[in-house]
Amino acid sequence: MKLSSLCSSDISHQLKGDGLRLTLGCFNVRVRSSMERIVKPIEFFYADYELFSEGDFVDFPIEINSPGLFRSWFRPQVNFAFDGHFPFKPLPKAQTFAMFEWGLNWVIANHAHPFLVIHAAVVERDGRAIIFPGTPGSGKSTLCAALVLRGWRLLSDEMALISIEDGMVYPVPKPISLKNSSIPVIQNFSKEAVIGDVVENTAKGSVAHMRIPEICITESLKPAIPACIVFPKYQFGAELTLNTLSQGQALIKVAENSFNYNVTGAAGFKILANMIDKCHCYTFSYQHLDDAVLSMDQVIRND
Amino acid sequence: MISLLRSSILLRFLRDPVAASQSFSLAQWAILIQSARRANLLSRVACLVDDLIGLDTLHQKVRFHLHSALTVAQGNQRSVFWEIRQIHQALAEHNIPFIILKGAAYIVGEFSAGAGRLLSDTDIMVPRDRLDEAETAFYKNGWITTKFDAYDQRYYRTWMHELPPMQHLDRGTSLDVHHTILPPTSALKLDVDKLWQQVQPLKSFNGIYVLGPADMILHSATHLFHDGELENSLRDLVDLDALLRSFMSIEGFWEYLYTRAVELNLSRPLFYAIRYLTKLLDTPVPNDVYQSVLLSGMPRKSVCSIMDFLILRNLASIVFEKKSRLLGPSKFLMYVRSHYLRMPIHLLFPHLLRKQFCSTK
Repeated sequence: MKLSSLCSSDISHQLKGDGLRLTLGCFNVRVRSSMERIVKPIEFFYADYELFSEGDFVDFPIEINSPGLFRSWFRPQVNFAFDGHFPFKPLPKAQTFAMFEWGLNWVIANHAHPFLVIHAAVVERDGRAIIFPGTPGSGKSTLCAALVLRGWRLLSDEMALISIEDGMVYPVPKPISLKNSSIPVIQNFSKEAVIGDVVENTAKGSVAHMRIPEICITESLKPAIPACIVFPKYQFGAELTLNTLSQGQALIKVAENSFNYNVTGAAGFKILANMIDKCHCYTFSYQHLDDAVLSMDQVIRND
Repeated sequence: MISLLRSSILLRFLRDPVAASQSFSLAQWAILIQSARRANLLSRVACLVDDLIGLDTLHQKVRFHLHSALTVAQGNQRSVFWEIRQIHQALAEHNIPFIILKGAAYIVGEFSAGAGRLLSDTDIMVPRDRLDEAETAFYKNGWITTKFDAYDQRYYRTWMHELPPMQHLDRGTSLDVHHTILPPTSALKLDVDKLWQQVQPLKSFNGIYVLGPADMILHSATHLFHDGELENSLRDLVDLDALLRSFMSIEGFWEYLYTRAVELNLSRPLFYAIRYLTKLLDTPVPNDVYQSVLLSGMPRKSVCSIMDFLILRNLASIVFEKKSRLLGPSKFLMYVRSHYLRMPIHLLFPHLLRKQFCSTK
C-alpha cells in the first residue's frame, strides 16, 4: 500500500499513534511524531512510497517531537530521536521537516555497516551508476537533481551504499535537498521540478526539497553497478572540463568522503579498491547544467 | 518492577544468550535490537550471538543489524588498541607507568567483558606524583585540554580525581587522566596506593597495567553507583556480570573480593552491584558471599528501597520503549545524589549554583 492512499488525518493519526511505517529502499523506517507541521511535507514528498505492514521488521524507529513542554511555546523547538538517543541539538520548529530528512540520513549512514557508505549523490542509467562524491557546496545535489529531471534514476542524493558482499550500489531514494542558489537554478532548469517550501536560516542556509519521480521509488530495491566516479565542482564562469583522475587519487578522495571507512576496516578498503578498479574516475567542473547533463550522458555511454 | 525487568527480551537474552537466540521470533529480535541499541549494548549482543551460534542462520534483517554492530565492535577494538599504543608512546619516553581503566582495560586486557564493549573515551590512571609530567607529555604529543574556563580548570585540579578531559587534535579522541578513582572530596575515602599494589601487567605492552581482578570489580561498581550518569547503567551491570563470571574461577576470589571491599572502604557499591546483578542477571554469587556483602555493605532499609526505586526505574527506561512519568525526577535525584556523594555540601552548593547561573555557554 502506498502512502498516497492515506488521507492527511490518517497520516497524522499514525504518526501520533503506533507510527507511520515507511519503506525506504531496503529499510523499514517507523516514524512517530506529535507535530502537526510534519504531516503535510511527509504527505507531499512521500506520497509514492510503500508502507510496510504492521508485523514487519522495523529497521529504524525514529521520533520527531518537541523537546519539552516549555519549549513547545517558548521559541518552539524540535528534536530528533533514534531509539532513545538524541544525536543532534534541537532546532527551531520551522526546520521540522529538514530535521527529519537530516536525521534520517544520519541514522542510515551510521547504522548500515554491511555497506561502505560514501557521502555522494548516485544516479543510474541502464543499470550503471555514476557516483558523485562531494563535500558540501560542490554542487552534487544540484547536478543530481538536473540529471533526475532528464530521466536518470535517483539512487540517493546523499549517500552511496556500496554492498561489501556484492560490490553493487544500493538505493535509498529520498527527496533531493537543495540549498541557497540551487533552488532557483533548478526551478529555472525544468518546469517539471516540484519543489517544496523554502526554509530560511538553517545551518546550511536556505533549504528546500525536490520531489523525486515515482520510478525512483518503485525501483528502489534494484541496485546498480558502479560505473563512474565523478567529483563535481560547480564554478561560476568555468569552462566545462572533464579530467581523468588516477585510480590512486580517486581511492583516497572517495575514502575521505566515506562515513564509515574507518569502521569497516580491511573489508571496506577491499570493496573500495575493487570498485575503483572497475570504474572510470573524473574531476568535473561546470557552470551550465544543460551542458553538464549532456556531458554525463556521454560519460556513461562511452564508458 | 524486578519481575517486569527480568521478563524483558533484553534481560532474557543477557541471562541466557544461547537459549534466547534459538527461540526468539522475528518480532522479538526486533525488540532485542531496539532495546540493546538504547542500552548501548547492540555490539555486545552481536558479539555474543556471533560467538555462540553464528549469524548465518538468522533472518536477513536481523543478520544485517548484528553484522553492522559487529563491524562497529571490530572498528572500536582497532581504535582502542591504537589509542593505547599512542598513549604508551607518549608516556614510555618518561617511564611513566599507567593503568588502563574501564572499557579500554577490558578490551586491551582481553577480558570477556571486552567483547563488543564500546567506549566514547579512554580512561587511564597515572601515579599522583607523575601527574604533571604525564600532562606535559600529552601536550607534547598532540593532546589538548577541553576545558578553557579558569573555574573548570580549578574545579578539576582541586576537587576531582582526574585532570580536565583531554582531546587529541588529529584523531579527536577523548582521554581522561585519573590519579585516583574517587574524588578526594568524596564521602568514601580510598587509599590509591593499595590499588597500585595489586595491578596486573599487560603481556603485550611494557609499563601498562590493569587493576587487579577484585579492584576492577570494585571500580566498576563504584563508577556505576556513584556517578550521576545512568544512561549506561545496564551496560555497566553487563560488564560486572562478565567480569565476575570470568574471575570466579580464581581460587578464593569471592572471599578476597569482599574483604578487599572492606579494606578499600567500598563495601556499599559492592553491595549494590551484587544486589542488582543477582536479581536481574542471575550472576552466580555464592550465598555466603552474598550474606557477607549484605552485612558489610547494606545501607538502612529505607535507603535501600529508595535506591531500588531510582535504579530499577532507570533500568526500565532503558529496557522498555515507554517512558515512565517519574523518570525525569528520578534521574534528577540520582544526579543530586552523585554530586552529594562526590562533594561535601559546603563545596557542592556554591558549585551547583555557579554551574546553573554563571555558565559560559
